[in-house]
Amino acid sequence: MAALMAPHTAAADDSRLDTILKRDKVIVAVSSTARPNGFVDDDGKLTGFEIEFARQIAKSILGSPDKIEFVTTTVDGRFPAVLSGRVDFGISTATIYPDRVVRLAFTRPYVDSTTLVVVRKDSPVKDIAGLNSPDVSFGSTNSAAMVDRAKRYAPLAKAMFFDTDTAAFLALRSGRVTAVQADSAMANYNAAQSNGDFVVLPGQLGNLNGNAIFMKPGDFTLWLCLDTIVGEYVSGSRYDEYQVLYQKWFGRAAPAPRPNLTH
Amino acid sequence: MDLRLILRILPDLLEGLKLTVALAACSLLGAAIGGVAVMLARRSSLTLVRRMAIGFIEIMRNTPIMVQIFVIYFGLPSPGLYPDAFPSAVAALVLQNSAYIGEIYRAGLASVNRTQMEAALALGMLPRTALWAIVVPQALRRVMPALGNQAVIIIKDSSIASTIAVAELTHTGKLLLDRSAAPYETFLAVGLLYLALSLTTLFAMRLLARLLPVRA
Repeated sequence: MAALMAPHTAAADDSRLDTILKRDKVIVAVSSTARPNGFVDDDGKLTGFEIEFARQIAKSILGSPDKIEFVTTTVDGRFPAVLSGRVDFGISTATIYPDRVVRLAFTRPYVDSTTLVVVRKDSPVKDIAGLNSPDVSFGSTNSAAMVDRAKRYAPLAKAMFFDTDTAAFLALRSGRVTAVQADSAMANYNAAQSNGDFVVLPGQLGNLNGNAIFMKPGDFTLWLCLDTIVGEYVSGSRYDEYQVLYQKWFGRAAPAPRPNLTH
Repeated sequence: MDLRLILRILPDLLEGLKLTVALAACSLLGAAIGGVAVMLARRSSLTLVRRMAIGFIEIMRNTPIMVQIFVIYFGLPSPGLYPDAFPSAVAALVLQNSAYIGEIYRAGLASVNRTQMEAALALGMLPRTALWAIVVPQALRRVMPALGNQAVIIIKDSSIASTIAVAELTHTGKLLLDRSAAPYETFLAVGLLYLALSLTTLFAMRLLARLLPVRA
C-alpha cells in the first residue's frame, strides 16, 4: 500500500499549487482578442467573462481577485504557455477536444459552448444548410474544432482559417468571406456590435461543446483544486456569483446548476 | 518527445511546405524583377523618379510586412478590389523585398570599379554594351550572397501569410498544434522543414553564383 501511495505523495509535494500559495499570485494565460470572453476594453483594460472568472479563481485560492497576473496569448500560444510552465493554467475559450486530452488536463467545463454562424445582413446564405456551396467562403479561426466543423458541414465551401477571431470578422466585414463560424458568445457579441450589419443564422453548427480551464497534466492536486472551484461556481455554493457573471457578459441567464456535471 | 507524432503529422506539414515553396518562389522571382525596376528608378537622372524610388524604398523598409499584407488583403476591398489571399501575400512580399533587392543591385553596381567601364569604353564598346557585358556580370556575382540572404528572409517572412488564411507551413503547424497540444514536436518539425528549405535555397544560390562566367 505504501508503495502504491508513494507516487501520489510525491506528486502532491511537487504540486504547482504550493508554488502558487508561496508566490501569493496565480499566473493565467488568457485571450485578449476574444470578445466577450477576454478582450481589451476602450480604457485599455483587460476584461471579459474569462478574465473575471479567473479573478474568482484567484479569490478562491488566495483570498483576493487581484492576486493574479494575466499572460495574454494567441490561440496558438495558449497551450505552449501552460506546457512550458510559463503560466499556472489557461482560461482561453479552449474547447475540450479528444485529441487534446492526451497532452493537456482539462477541468470540467465552466461554460457550455455552441458554435454559431454569422453572415452579413444582405448575404444570400439564409441558413446553415446554405453554407455548403462552392460560392460560399467560410471563415473562422485556425483551430482544430473549427476546421473539422467546416469540413463536416460545408465541404463544398471554400474554407479560410485566420489567426484570430478579430481577423475572421474583419474578413466578413470586408467581404472576404461569406460567413464566419464562432463560439456562440463571440458570434452574438459581434452581431450585436455590428450596428445591424451582421446577423446570426438560425440554429447551431455541430454539437454542444464545453469550454474548460486547461493545465499541464500530471499535477492532480492543482487539477482537483481548479476542478472543484469550477464545479462550485457552475453548480454549487458559488452558483449565484456565476449567474451574475454569466448574465453580465452573455446577456442571458446561466444554465441551471448541474451537480452531476462531469467531463 | 514523441517522434511517432512527428511522423504522423509530417504528411500534413509537407502539404504546407509545398505552399511555402510556391509562395517563396513567386515572391523571390517577383522581387528579383521588381528590384531591377527599383534600382533603375533609384539611379534615374530624373529627380522626380529618383525621389519616388527613395520614398518607395523607405516606406517599404520601415513598415512591418504584417501591416503591408493587411493593407493589401483587408484594405483593397474598400475600393472594390478582392485579390485572393495567396496573391495578396505574394504582392506584400514582392513589394517589400523589391525595395531591399533594388538597393542590393545598386550597391553591387556601385562596387564595380569605375575603371572597368572606362577601359571598356576606351576599347570602343558602346556604353550600354559595356554596362551589360562588363559591369553587370561582375556586379551580379558580387550580389549573389546578399540575394541568397534575401531569399532566406523571404522564405521565413512567408509565414506571415498564415495571418490571412494561406495554409502554408506555419499555418499548418499552428493547426496541428491546436489539435494535438504538442508544441515541441510540431514546431521542431516545422523548424526543421524551414531550415532544410533555407539551406537548400542558399546552396542553390551559391551554385548559381559559381555558374556565372565572370569572377568578381
